Amino acid sequence: MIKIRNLAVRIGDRVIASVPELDVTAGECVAIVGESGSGKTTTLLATLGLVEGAAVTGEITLGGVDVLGASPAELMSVRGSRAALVMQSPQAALNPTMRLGTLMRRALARHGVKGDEARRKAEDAVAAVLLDTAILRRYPHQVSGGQAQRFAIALALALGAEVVLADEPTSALDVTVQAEVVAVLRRLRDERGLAVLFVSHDLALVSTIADRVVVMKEGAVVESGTAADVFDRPRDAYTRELIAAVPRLPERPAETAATPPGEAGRTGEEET
Amino acid sequence: MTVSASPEAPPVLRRTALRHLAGVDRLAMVGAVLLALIVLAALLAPLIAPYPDDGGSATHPLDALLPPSGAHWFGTDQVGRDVLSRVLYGARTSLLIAVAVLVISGVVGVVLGVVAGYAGGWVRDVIMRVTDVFLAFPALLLSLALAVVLQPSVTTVIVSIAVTWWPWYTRLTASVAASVSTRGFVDAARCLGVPAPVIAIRHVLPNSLTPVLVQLSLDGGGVILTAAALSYLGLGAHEPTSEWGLMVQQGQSLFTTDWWVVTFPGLAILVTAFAFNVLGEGLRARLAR
Amino acid sequence: MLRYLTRRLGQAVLVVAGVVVLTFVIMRLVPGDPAVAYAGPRASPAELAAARAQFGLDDSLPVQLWKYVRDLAGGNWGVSLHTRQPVRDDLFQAFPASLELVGAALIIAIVVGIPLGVGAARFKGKFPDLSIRVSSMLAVSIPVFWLALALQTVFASGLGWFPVAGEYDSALDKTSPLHVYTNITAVDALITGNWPILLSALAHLVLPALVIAAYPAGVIAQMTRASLIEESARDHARLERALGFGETSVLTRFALRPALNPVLSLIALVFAYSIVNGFLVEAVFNWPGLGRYAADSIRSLDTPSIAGVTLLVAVLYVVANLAVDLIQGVIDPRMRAR
Repeated sequence: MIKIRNLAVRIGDRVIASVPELDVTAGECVAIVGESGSGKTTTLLATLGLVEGAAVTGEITLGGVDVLGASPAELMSVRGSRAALVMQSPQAALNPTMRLGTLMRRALARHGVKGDEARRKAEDAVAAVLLDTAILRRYPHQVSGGQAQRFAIALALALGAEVVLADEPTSALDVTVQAEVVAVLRRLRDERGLAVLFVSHDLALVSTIADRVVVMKEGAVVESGTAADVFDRPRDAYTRELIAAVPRLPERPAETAATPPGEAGRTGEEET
Repeated sequence: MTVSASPEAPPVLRRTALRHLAGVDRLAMVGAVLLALIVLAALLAPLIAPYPDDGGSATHPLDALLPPSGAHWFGTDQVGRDVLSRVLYGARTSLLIAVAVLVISGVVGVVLGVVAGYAGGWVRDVIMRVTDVFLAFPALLLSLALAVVLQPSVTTVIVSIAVTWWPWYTRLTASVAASVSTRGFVDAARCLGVPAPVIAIRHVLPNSLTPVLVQLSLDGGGVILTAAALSYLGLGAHEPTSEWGLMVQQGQSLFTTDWWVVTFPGLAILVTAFAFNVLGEGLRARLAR
Repeated sequence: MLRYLTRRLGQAVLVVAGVVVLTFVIMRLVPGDPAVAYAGPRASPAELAAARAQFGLDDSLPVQLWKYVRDLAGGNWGVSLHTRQPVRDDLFQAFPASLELVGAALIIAIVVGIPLGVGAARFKGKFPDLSIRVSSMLAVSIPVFWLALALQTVFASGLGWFPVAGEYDSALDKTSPLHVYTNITAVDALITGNWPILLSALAHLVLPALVIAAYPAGVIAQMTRASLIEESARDHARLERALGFGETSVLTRFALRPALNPVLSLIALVFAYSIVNGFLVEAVFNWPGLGRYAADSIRSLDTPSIAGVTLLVAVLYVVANLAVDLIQGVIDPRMRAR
C-alpha cells in the first residue's frame, strides 16, 4: 500500500528525513521509531504529500498513486479515500467548532458519499471502533482523548481507507487508554487487512503492534527489519541504546499493552 | 532516550514562517524609512522649508491660494503661506505630540503594570479595575471629553490623549510581569532575600519592556490620528502653529476650489500614520516568532 | 455558562459604575461656571443663585456625585444648556441616526473585510496578500475627517453622484411623509414601504458610511488574515487536508469559524470606535446624529450634554463587549462549557 524509495526531504542543504526503502503492505503494521527530530513525522507527512516548505525527492507510491508526480487534484482524492491520518493530540486534531458527525459527513461528501449511505457508513465505522453513535452529536471538547483517537480511526474506516498513518496516536493518552487505541488498530489490521504506518517514540508500545520496525535518528534510517530482529538482535548501537532505555516490567501475558520488548518481538513473529 | 511529546513538524513549518516574516520585514522596512524621513524633515524643517517664516504667523495676502508651482510645490494657503513649509513644520507638532504621549503613557502604564503584575492580590485587582474603566471609553471619546474641558492647546492634546492611552501598557506589562515573576530566576532572587522593589526593577521590568516597545511603535499611528482629529475639531493646536489637522479644518471650505490646501496636510497625516502602523506591525510579527 | 454569565455581568456593572464616576470627575474640571453658562452673562445674582441651586453646585463634591448617580438611575440625565431640552430626550433623538450610519458602515466593513482577509490568507506571501495588506494598512491610517472631505468633494460636489449632506431629502416629507417608528430613517422607510424616502436615505448613506467603514474594514481584514493563518496551521487543519480537502476548503469551511472568534471581539471594539469616528464624519456630512449634537455641545461648553454623550457611548461599548462574549459562546462551543 505504501512504497517509498530513496525519499529525501530537504530544507535548504539540510536533509531532515532520508529513507532509502520502506514498504507497508495490506494487513501489516510498520512502525517508525526514534526521538523527536529524527524525521519520523516528516516521513509520514511526506507519504501524504503534506510536507510544506521543504523539497521532497525520491519515489513515494500511496495506494498505487505516485505522490510526488500526482496533480494536486489527484493527491487530494487519494487523501482520505485511500489513506487517512491519525494525529498525536486527540482534541487538537479535531475542529473545535464542529460536531464529530458534521466532520464525518463533510469528509464523506468530499469523496462522493452522501445521504443514507453516508449515515450508514458513519454509523458502521463508529461501531467498528467500539464507539456509541451518540458520539457523532458531540463536539471535540465533549469526548475523551481515547474516544477522539478512535473516532479519527473511524473516519478512515468510513472513507474506506486502506492505509492508516498514525503519528504518535497514543502519546497524549493514559496507559490504559493507549492499550485500547492500539487494540483497535491491531484488530482492524487483522480483520480488515488495514495497512498501518505507526510513528512513535515509545518502544514498549511499538512492540505490541508492529510487524516490522524502522529506527530513525537525525533524519536517517539506522536500522530496519522485522520487529523480532530489531528488538532481539539490534545491530545498531543507537537501537540498543533505545531498547535499553525502555523500563523493564515484570513478565506479563503478551496481549497487554506494556509487554517487554523481547516478548513483543516474539509476538510479532507469531502474528506474521 | 529523550521522551518528548513535541511533534517534529516545526522545522518544516518554520521555513514558511521565515519566508513570510521576510515579507513582513520588507513592508516594515518601508515604514522605517518613511518614518526616518519624516523625523528628519521635522528636525530640519527650519533648514529645508522653502519659506521658514511661513511655518508661523507670516502672511502674504497677495500670494493667497496660489496653485502648486515651481515656487510653491504644494501651493499657498488662504493667507498666502507656503503649504509645503507648513506641512514640514507640522511634522514637528505631530511628532512632538506622538513622542510626548507615548513617553508619558508608556512610563505611567509600565510602572503601574509592573506593580500590578508583581504585587498581585488586591493591588493588582484595583489597578486592573481602574484600567477597565478607562478602556471602556473609546480612546477618542475620552480624549475629546477631556480636551473640551481644558483650554485648546498642544499641551491639552498631549494630556488628554495620554490619559486615555496608559491603561493599554498597564495591561500588557501586568500580564508579562505576572508570567515573568513566576519564573525560576525571580523565585531564586526572592529566596536569596533580594527586596521586592529590586526584583521588580532588575528582573521583571526588563522582560516586560520588549512587548511594550513594540506596542508603542504600533500605537504611534493611533496617536497621530487622534491628535489630528482633536485639532480638526478645534480642541488642539491653534493659529499660527502649523498642525496638519488644523490645516485641514481651516482649508475644508476651499476643498472644491483650492484642493491643495487640504490635500497635502491630509496626505501628511496618512503617510505618517501608515509608517508607524507598518513598522509596528512588522516588529510585532518578529516578536511573535 | 451561567456562572460565566453572572461573572461577566458583574464585571460590566462595575465598569459602568467607574465610567459614571470618571465622567463626573471630568465634568467638574470644566473651566467657568456652568450656572453662568445656563443663566446667561446678564443674570442677576438671584437668578445665578437659583441656577446654582438647580444644578446642585452648592453641595459638596461627594453629595453632588451621589445626586448625579441618583438622577442618572432615575432617568434624569440633566438638561442641555444649548437645546434647553432634557439630555436624555436629545440623545434619544440623535442616537438612532448615528446607529444607522455606523450600522451601515459595519455591514460594509464586515462584507468587505472578511473576504479580503480570507483572500490574503489563501494567497499568503503572494501578490494578492501583499496588496490586501498594504491597502488595509492604508485604510486604518487614513484620517476620517480628511477622507470624508475628499469623498464629499469628489463624488458629491464634483461628480454629483451622491447628495452632499443630510440624512434624506426633506422635500420628500411633503410628497411622501415618513411614519416614525424606530427613528432610523432607512428602517422606517423600509417597513412602511416608503420607497422615495428609502432611496433618498440610502443615497445619503453611501458616502459617510463608506468613510466610517474604512477603518473597521482594514482591521477586520488584518485580523481575519492573521487569525485564519494561525488556525490553518493547527493540527485540525492538517487532519482536514489529510481527509482530502483542498486549501480553500480548509480555510473557508473549517478554519474560518474558529478563526472568527477574535474577529468578533474586534467588531465590538470597532463599533464604539466607529461611533466616535462617526462624530467627525457627521460633522462633514451634516448628519443629524450624536456627532453633530456633540459638536454643538462642545462649541457651547454644554457639560450635561457632553457628559450624556460620553456616558451613552461608554455604556454602549460595555454592552457591545458583553454581547460579543455571549455570541462567542454560540460560535465556539468550548466557551459554553466554562
